[in-house]
Amino acid sequence: MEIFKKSDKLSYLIHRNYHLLPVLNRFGIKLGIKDKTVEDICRERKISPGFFLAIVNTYHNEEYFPREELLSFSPLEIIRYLRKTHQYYFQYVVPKIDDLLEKLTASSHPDFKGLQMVNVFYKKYKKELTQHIDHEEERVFPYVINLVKNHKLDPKYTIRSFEQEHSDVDEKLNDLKNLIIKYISPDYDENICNDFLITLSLFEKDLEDHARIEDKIMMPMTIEIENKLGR
Amino acid sequence: MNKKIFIIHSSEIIRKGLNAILRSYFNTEIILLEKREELKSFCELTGQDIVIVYEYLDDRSSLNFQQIQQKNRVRWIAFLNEHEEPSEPLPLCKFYITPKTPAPQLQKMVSRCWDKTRKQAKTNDSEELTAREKDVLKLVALGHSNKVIAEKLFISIHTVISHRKNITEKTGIKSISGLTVYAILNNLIDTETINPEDLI
Repeated sequence: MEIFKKSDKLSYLIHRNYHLLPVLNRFGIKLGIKDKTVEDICRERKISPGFFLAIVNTYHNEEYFPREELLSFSPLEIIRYLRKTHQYYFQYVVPKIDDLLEKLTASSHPDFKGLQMVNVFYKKYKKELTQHIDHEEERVFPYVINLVKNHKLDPKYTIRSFEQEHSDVDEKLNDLKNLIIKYISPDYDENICNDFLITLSLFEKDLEDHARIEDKIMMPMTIEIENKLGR
Repeated sequence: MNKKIFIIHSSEIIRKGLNAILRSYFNTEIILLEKREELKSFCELTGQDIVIVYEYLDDRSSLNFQQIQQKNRVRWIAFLNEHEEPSEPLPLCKFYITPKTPAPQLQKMVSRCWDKTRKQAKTNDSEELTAREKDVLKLVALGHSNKVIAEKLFISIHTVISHRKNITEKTGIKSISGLTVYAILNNLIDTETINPEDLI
């Protein structure tokens, strides 16, 4: 498996995996990057290169776990990144899915039951996703930030008490895809439907990566801090 | 699902080398064993996603890994001490490595063993639900618990769970609301009397 290095040109990363584009945006990186390397860009934008590489490499390789880079950055950096990701979901991806589903429904026969059911299902999914993300924004992240900044344990909580399963939300997204791929009779515009499924699939991949960063990077780091403080 | 990697090789240098390569990449428990027989002490493992990298010995000794195979999802990677390709297909596994295999390739193989997308049913198994599975699905969609379903159908909870597992495998749909949509689309629920929006 390919692991990107500090000395790689950023343009090379994008050519290897264009799904990294929104990931770069979350770091505030804009295109027109000439022949700059990862190290150059990180210096310019004041990003820790270890953190940047950990994020792009876990995105690029599903099983990769950056054991060593993990020690080189702060949980606050991760939270800043995760918050950017949440913004990207709610300001761009979810409205795009809303819009495509609306267009898709409009392209089908109004009596058609299948897409109406999908609509109801999607609304429920969206509600759960929103709750899940709100929970992280309002409870989990502030807990971690407080722990890192004040070096004090909260007697009432540990990071484990906030732990929630991602799997249920992920399951629904996959179900949504399967319902359309397998069970809805295609009484709709095919090109809109393809766009819809491709957008869902990319979102699914992004969410998986997001969950991996939370579970495999943020969680263990926080537990380590708790242990150091004598939990 | 819990993941584990077993490395079985008689050479300590090779065991530790493989361990170093895999540890730098995967965040998974890695267990080093000298002999295959030692795998027996792990027979209580269940429901795990296991990759076993084992030293391939051409001694025709029986590979008795039954117990671990039955209760877990096991993938095998053979380690060939000789540099040549195997003359005949290896038992159990589709991947093999030799001392010359580059490290990234080994990491890639293990990754592929765990690739989730490959779990999507590719083969041509029948998707049709049995009459009993439809009964169970209908009650699931109406929001009943396993206990209530068992009582209504006069079957054990264990049987209900097993039906539900089969339904999910056949339809590819896991969540209750997803199954409800499926039931409505397939006319298993009468939507004249019930508002589908209340169910999903």
